[in-house]
Amino acid sequence: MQVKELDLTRILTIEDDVPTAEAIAAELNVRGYKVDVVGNGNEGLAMALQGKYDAITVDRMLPGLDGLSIVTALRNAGLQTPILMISALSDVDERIRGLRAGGDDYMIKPFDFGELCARLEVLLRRRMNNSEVVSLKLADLEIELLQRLVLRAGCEIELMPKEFRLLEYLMKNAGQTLTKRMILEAVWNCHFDPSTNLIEVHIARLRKKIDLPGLLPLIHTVRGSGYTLSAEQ
Amino acid sequence: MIPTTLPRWRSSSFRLALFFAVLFFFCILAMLGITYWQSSEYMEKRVDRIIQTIGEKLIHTPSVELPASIDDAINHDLRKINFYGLFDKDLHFIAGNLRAIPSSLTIDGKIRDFIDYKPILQMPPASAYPRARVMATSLSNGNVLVLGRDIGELIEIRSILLHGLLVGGGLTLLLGLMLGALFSFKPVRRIEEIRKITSAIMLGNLSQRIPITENEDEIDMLAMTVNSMLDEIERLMGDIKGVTDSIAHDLRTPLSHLRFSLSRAQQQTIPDSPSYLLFDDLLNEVDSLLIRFRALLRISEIDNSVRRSGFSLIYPANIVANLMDLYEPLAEENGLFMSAEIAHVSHIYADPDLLSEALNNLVENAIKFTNSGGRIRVILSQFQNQVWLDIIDSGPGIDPREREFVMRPFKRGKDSGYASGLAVAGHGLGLSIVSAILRLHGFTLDFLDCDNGTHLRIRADVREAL
Repeated sequence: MQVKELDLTRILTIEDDVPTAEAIAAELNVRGYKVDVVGNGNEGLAMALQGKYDAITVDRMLPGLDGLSIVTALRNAGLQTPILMISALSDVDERIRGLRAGGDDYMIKPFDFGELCARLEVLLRRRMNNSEVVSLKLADLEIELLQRLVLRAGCEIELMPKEFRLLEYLMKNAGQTLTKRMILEAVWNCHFDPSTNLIEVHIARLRKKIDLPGLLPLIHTVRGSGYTLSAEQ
Repeated sequence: MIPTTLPRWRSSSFRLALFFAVLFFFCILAMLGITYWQSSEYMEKRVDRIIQTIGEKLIHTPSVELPASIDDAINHDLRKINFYGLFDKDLHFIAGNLRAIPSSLTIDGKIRDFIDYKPILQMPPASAYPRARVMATSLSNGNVLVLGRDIGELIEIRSILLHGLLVGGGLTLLLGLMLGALFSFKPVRRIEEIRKITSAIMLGNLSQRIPITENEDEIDMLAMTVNSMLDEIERLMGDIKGVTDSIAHDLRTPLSHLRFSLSRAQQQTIPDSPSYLLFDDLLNEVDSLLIRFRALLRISEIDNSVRRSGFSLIYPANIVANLMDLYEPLAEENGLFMSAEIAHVSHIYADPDLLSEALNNLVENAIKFTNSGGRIRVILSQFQNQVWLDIIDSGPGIDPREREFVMRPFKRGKDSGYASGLAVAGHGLGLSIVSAILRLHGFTLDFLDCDNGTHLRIRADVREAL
């Protein structure tokens, strides 16, 4: 079912650096997305305004029209397509400007292509599930967001507030690989590279509480990439 | 610490006005003092000459005519300021308006000051100050002649001068203070305006300029010079930013190509095969290179930051609480006891993302360099107008001679970590990022002396939003 959805997904990549654009397209093609690449800001805006794309990746610095102006123009035109901004500028102000202009996420070059795909998938998922969710369920794991209640195999599990937010983030993006950086941003609102095994420790603690002995392990480590919550072995 | 308010009395204009007021006060004092001294000397000499003239005339008057001459002189003294006394050799009264010779008066023909003569005078003068110049001399027949003249007027003049000094001097001082306050009002207000603007410039808002008035006074001249300097600094900062952006764009892209190619090549190999593991190592090396490169650019970006869109008034306790949430499990995992003491403190003006990044770096260092069983304390407190954030660990500490050294890029303390046998990974850039972030905020980082471990203190001024 999910494969069928991905087959239909169309991504527009506005990137002037040909090798990067080709690499993005290749990585997304491998994952089943249909990708159109354009290297000029004006052309990119014209294509995006057609409204036929499910998500857009935009480079911050482009010939013609820069990435920030493209995002502003798209939002002013009422287009709500998820936009992932990509930039060599890591200044915090740049990220804030990008997000304030209407970007949904911001990535700094050089980036891991696995993370690019993971972020795009999160944006696409958010677009599909934009209705207000009050409870989430995966196999025998259930969480009630309003009551902040977590049940595993019918038994209540007590979580600390940040552990609850971490589990909520994993469950909202179940089946998708989430990188450490994405987790750090979403749960702790931190936008930097943790140089220690910070996220591993938090995941390990959550795993101890969720994946109790004798139950199906749900939290999986994706080697070299991050973590995913899945009922598959 | 740069003072944020200037009391008016400390302004140059006020001090100058006060200086001239005090100068004028002393000028008036000197002028009136000299006037008094000169006039009193002149009047005393004049009185003495009159006494001597009268004395010479009476001494040479025949003894039998002397009482009559004295009475005649008394009758001609309409102002009743002269007094005469003729006494026999036993000092019994013979003639004059002086009934007795005061016991303290020496009979030697010299003129002296004499006070309190009124009780022995028949008709004392109306002067309010009983002071006189008096001479007592022996006559050839053994009689004693006493001559005197009241100088109460001189004392009255002195009193008038003293009164004039008090009123005039007091008014001069008061006028000086008022003019000082008046003259200092505008400069103090302008200096306050300039202080606010320069504070904003210090915090990175280089587009601000000091306003120039139409007066074209010395402050305007200085403001024009400072504004020209700021134009140049802004231009240079823009150039540096442009170069940084170019480096970021030109070098990061090929680096990302390299990483991507390695990643793609790895995907062509069998997982866990020797080639796959070799690519793993290569990717780790490239990542390590990218982390260093990114950190260096980050320091440059923070240092050259001119926009402050992320700055706002924040409550630092929230950041410390978040910090504890994030790092306490990691500390526990490493066998460390981490605790926080959070006092109620004022708001500070900061970028919460950047400040968190700095604190996270410091706490990460504390965790990395402290042996299992150690302790890490985070203390948030307020001292007067400053919020203090202390991070104390029981690790190996930093040699006082290396405290400045470790804040520089790629520099790591020789004794930290390695001395304790810990092979701690790192690039020596974390503290440089912390330093750049705190510099951008105008906060101070102190290394405090500590018996065991490291004690760092961040000092942030409590301030209103600019």
